[in-house]
Amino acid sequence: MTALLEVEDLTVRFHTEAGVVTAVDGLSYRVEAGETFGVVGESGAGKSVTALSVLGLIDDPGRIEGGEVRFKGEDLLSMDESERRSVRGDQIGLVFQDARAALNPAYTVGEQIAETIEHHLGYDPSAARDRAIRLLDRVGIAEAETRYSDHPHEFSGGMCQRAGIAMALSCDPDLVVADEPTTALDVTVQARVLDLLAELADEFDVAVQLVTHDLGVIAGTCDRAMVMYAGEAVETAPTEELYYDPKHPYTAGLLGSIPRLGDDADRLSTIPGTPPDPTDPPPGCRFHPRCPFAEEACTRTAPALVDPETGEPATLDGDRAAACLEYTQGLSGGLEYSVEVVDETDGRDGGGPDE
Amino acid sequence: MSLRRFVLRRALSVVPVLFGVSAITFGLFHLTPGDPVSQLVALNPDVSAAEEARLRERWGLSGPVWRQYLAWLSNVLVGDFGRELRTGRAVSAIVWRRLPETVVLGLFGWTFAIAIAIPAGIYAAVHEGRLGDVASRVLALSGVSVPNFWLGLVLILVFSLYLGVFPVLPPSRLPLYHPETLRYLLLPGVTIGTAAAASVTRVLRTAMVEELNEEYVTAARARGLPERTVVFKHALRNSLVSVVTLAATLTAGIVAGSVVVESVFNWPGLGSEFVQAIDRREVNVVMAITLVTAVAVVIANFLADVLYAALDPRIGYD
Amino acid sequence: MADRHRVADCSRRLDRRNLLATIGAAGSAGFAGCGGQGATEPSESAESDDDGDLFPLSVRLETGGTDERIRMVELIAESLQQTGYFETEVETYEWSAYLDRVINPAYQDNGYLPSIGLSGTFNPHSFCNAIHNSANIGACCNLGGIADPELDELLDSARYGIEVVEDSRLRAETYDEIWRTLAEERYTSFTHFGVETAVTTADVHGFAVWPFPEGVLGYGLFSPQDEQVAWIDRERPAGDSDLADLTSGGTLTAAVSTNPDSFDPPHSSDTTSTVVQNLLFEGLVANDVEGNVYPWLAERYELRDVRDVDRTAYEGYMRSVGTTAEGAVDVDEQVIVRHPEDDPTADDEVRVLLPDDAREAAADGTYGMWFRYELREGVEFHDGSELTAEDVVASYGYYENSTTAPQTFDSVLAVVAVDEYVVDVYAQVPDAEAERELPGVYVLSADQIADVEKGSIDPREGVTPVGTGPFEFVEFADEEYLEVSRFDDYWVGKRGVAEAFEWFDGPDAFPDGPLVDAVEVEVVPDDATRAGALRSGEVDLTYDVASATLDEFADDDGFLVHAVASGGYDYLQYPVNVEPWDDPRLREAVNHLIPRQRIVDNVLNGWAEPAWTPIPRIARGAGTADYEALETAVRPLNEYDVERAEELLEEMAGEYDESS
Repeated sequence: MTALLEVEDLTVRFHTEAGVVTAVDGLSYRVEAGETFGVVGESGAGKSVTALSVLGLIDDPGRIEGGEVRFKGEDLLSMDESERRSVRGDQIGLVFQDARAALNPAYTVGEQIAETIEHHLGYDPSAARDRAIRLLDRVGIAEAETRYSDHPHEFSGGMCQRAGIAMALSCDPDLVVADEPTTALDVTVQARVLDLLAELADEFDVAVQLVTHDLGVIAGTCDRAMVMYAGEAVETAPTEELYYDPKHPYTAGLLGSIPRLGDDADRLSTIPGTPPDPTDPPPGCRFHPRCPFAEEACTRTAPALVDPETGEPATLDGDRAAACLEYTQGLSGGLEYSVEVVDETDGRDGGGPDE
Repeated sequence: MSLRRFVLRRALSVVPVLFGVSAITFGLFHLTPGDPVSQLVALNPDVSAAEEARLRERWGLSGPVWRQYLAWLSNVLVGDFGRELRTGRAVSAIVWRRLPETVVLGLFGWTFAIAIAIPAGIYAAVHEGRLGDVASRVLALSGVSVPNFWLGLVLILVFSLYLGVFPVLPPSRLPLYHPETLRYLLLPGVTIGTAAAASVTRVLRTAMVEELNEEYVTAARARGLPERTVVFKHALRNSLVSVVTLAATLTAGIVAGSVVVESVFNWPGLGSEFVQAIDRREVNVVMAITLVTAVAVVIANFLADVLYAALDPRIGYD
Repeated sequence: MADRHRVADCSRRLDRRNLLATIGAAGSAGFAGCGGQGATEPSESAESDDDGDLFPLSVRLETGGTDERIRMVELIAESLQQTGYFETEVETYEWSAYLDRVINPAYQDNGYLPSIGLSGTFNPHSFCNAIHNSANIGACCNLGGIADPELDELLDSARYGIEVVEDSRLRAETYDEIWRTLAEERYTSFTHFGVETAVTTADVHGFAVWPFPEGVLGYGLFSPQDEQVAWIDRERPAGDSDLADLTSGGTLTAAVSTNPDSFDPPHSSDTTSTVVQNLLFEGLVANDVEGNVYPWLAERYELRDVRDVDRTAYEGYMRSVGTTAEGAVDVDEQVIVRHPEDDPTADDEVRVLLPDDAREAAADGTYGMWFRYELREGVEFHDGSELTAEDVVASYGYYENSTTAPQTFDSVLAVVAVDEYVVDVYAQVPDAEAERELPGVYVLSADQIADVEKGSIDPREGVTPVGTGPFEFVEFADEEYLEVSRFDDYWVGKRGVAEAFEWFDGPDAFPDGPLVDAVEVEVVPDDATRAGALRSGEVDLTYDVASATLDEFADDDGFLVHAVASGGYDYLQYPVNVEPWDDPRLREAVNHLIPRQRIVDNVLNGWAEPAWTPIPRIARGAGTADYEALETAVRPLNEYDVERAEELLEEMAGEYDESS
């Protein structure tokens, strides 16, 4: 049986004046119906591009140059634009990072939700309005009926994101792609919005592809997760395993940089160095300049995504995969880090690599 | 605050502006040496001194300037702009007869400008960087740069003299509000509207390019809305805000342009009257037209403000 | 048709006659708005070169008005500069500001060289008196302060007095003497004489222009005195058309540059008003293109008596009236004559002759001249009423206190109806120009005059103008268009031209009235648009076209350019009372440096005539006994001659060195 969403060998390039940027390079993953799948990585890793590619929303100068995005077995990329449009918003909802920017300031919040409903479900205006009000109410907007006629600038950031979630769910989709849905929000609001998202995913029986740079977010909400680095997947695993047994040095590095609640240190800054120049990625393993375990071989051979147990190439329906030479040819020094569980009750806290 | 109250309040705030405009208009013509009476006497040396004094009294030209201004203003407020010096005819009659001609021409020019600029601006923005965009930008730049008297003469040369499809002179016997007037409006309307069309195209294109890059556009597409809804309902609405801001300025441009365009096309509006009145040194006529056009520009600005507020809900009514 | 030609296009030429007449009637006070209003310059003389040599002499030329005139003055300045004897500068002014500046008695003290354009008439006086008579200093347009008593007397004797009235040969010879005096004294350098032009499409046949703008439509359409008639034939192009080809019917559309101020003849003086009035109204007499007088509404006229009087002769009929603080005569009625010894600017009371008293004087036999006009019977106005002596008397009365009153009552004393068809017109003094000037009013309907307020014979005032002319008023939209149509009961047509005019000896084919059915006049102020409308065939005729555009039309087979020598003239005047311009040799030298031929060829594109003599073609009828002889004598003095100029300047420089 095929998964709800199967992305295979997706390659997206941006043709900029500075050169060709390969934002997503041969990426493959799957999202099962009803599950919550996390995509995590630093900014520039290609997470958001991946999210937009799923909906075919890559604009000039970007281009999807290869691969397939199969939704319920059908390739969205080879559909024509109008077929794709009937999927967007209807069967796949998108939640944006900056919810206010994703709302048109000229129209009321309610109108914009109702507009989608009218368009996809063929509701008449008053029925669409009723449904939109119910949704607003469901996502926790008080006095939804009056708030229906408010313009986006009259909503708080958290309310905007709730409305954004309502909009994504407005046509009963099977999949919601949430692109950093909490990044722009206050820390206190973040948790509530995430809880809401999880709750609704459950209630509506909808799969979620949750894009975030925050491993902590993954821990609380996702069933499985994929770690991206410089446009490639470096590790895929069920969330538990990712935390307790990270197979890729980068994942391990990310775990070391999870901020505690209230910790305002720069996130992800504890991995030394910076992500590679996207127009000129390093040869071999893209992570090697920052990898404490990198060896000479890493600078020459690009590691394939394999099952870390067997060393066999990863498949779409496999649960674990990692891209490190350790699992194919072995590194002379091995990967010497371990996970130390600090507090079992708080899944958001994780251990860092040992010294 | 409701839109109605907002409109009312803005309308009230226009009043002091209008007084200012009237004072400046009056001042400009009365602080320059030689009042209308002495100019009349210069034209017609036959006027006796007693008559001169009588005229000064009657036209409110005796006494200190502020009193003259008040006298003039109180006449203007009841629609009396004084009399033509040479013929003694009421200036208000001239203004009221010619105003509709200019309004019709200006509206036509605007309609033309909008009819060209909105599609062109949208087209250019949607095809940003491609041939159509480059072409429309080159055309818009030429449109802004071409002086309208030159454009008018070229249009006459090509369409009236060379191709013979339009007459040079407007119809003298056709009522203004007649479908056939459209034919005669075309060349002057195009001439007067070209600069505005070009400016609006440029501004709309820039605004539209910006709006199309906004996240709400991506969001609208992500909701599966058809592209025309995304462009015309979502992006355009927000782009129009900058067009409206520009429109007030352009209205002043169209009013100013009417002076030249009406002369070139012999259109019997306020603009050509203005030129002739200056030529004949008819101070009262020049003053009346200056005031009327200034008021028109103030009103255009006011309408733009209201429209602006109606288009962009983020702008508070207070 | 009268020879009124107050060329009132202010932007081009000053209406000399109007201003001049005002001086006679109202004194210099009338110029309060022009000259009196303190345009006095600090009298620093431009040429005061205290410490050095006389040369190079600083010369400041001043002018205003048309671009062509400015270019002309620049050309003259350049010509002076090139000799090395002069440091020239050219100052230009907006036209009315310029008039304010130069029509000022103090202007001559500046020592500048002003240049201006005037418009003269068939009367040779209009080319010499206005600019040289000392009475016109500070008025129009003796700008240089010329005060030459002998010349003043000569000027006076050429026009006034029994001798010249009775002896036209003597009059012509007196003028010849004036021209020679002017050529030798060189108070003034005449540069060129204008031409009146009009352009028509080739659809207009037989057209010709009148020397003055007022006749541009009326004269061309029907003027038996010159066997002139025009018609429209859109089938074949005009060229060598003759009367055998004439067709009748059609509408002639003309484009004019300005709106007519008024249809009321005495209450308007702008060009377009006179042009359209010329279609509707007629006078007692008409002029041909040479200025000869033909009886028109009057079947015949005669000069019955001439008396040797001057204006003091009316003293006994005058009454004393007060003057205002501003120096105007304080009286409501028309002042016919003001006592020459009284000055309203200086005196509290002046003696004036009012209309009733003037009639009394005439009845008593105190007058300069007595003309009798016998009207035709059966002449119909457009409203169907018949022309009688009462209409003529009322018309003269209607001219009282009008815009054009000054130029009417500088000569007319009184007008009296003798019977239903006979009118006597009296002149104030024996005036050689009286035959043309006295009947210079349009004959209006007495009924209409009685019905309307003065000055309101105008469709804009709800009054349809009623005249006896060949066309009657149809429709007028202010500042847009006018339509007139051929008057079916036109008296010439009813009688036939040969029957109507004893003097007519033209061909039988000559029609009995205008041939076009209607004339439409479109107001098109913009020059380029007007030319465009002619080019596209939307109008058949226009005038007031720039000389460069005239050339274009002249080169195009589809159009005809019509031109005739006019009364316009341009001149440069010298500040004869300011050193060193009081030296005739300097004036002679500068006069020889004026490139008259080049001005006409290069600045005016040939649409003018160089002023080799001070008298233009149109005034030669009365103004010279033998033009050939005059030109032979005078032309060499006005030729461009650098050698002669330098010789004179060298001579002056030498003397200057000796004396200093």
